[in-house]
Amino acid sequence: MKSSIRPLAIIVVSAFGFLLMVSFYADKNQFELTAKEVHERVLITDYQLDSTAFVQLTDPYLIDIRDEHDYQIGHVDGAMNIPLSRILEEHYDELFQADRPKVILAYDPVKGHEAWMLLTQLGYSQLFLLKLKEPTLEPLILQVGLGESIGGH
Amino acid sequence: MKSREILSVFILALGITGAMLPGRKNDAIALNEHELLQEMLMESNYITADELAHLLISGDPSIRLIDVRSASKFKNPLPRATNIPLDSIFEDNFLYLFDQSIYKNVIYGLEDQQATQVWVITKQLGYGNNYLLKGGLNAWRATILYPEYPAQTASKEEFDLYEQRNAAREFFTGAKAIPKVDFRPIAPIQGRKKKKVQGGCS
Repeated sequence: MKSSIRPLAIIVVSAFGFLLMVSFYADKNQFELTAKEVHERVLITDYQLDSTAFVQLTDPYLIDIRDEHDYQIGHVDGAMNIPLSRILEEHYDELFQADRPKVILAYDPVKGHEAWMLLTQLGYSQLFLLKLKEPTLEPLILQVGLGESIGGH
Repeated sequence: MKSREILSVFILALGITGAMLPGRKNDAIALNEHELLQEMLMESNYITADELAHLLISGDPSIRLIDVRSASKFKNPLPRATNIPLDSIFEDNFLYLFDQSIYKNVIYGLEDQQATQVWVITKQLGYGNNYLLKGGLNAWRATILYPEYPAQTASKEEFDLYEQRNAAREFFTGAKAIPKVDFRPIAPIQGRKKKKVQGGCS
């Protein structure tokens, strides 16, 4: 009788272990913050830059999230183009993890806030948002006042 | 028989352990980051002021308007809108309004910012039937309440759209004023006076 129980016990234990592993490693999402934490974070609106706050950033990465077409028609000097649809691609991970301010440039405020929330929730820090004044051309404030500060890279 | 009892107790113990394991921190989040991004890129999650006006005029009873401005700024809302300020969406008496499948919630603020934040949070929690009014109340005012008369050179579609918006404005405000249009009638071309025929036989 004992010999017939042992294989059954092994099957049960291994099935339990398998379920445990699946539930632990089958990652539902990579979000660092919970919905409530993001909610608390968006109530502080310091991530939205105006022109004066933008100048005070040291050596920021400029990330233009408009689509490629709009970017090619006109963009800020030194801005790189990462359309919102491709923002989760793995090779951008290093860029977002860099210990430098990262400014999201967007014309559509909906897209801008969405990109900021998505990246913030994934745990990236030093993210800011700057709204472009024109749908396709360079924003006026960047053309006139900030040529020197963003000309370096 | 004894070994069977031991096995049963063992399985029961495993089951209890499994049930007692702590949940993950982010269990409440229903979508992963890729699914959330797909939702963000899907245009059907957004509604324009023109589409909303059409739905309201057609009397769609399933539309529920949610105004996320703070209570102190909750002035001149859309007709029959519910005020749920951004900072109190997680309160028990409000959260259930987002998590339902009866109404189509149209979330709006004065502009896009606050409404987008509320919309993203409801989406990632897996709540359906939440839509975002693009441009918020400002877009509603600019397109429906104060539609701009198209330029003289505009296409027929633009004039048709203007007529629709004007009709919507009448519906929502009751105003029937015809907007001021810079219209100068073209001066009639003066024809030459016919000279009386002179001479000839009489």
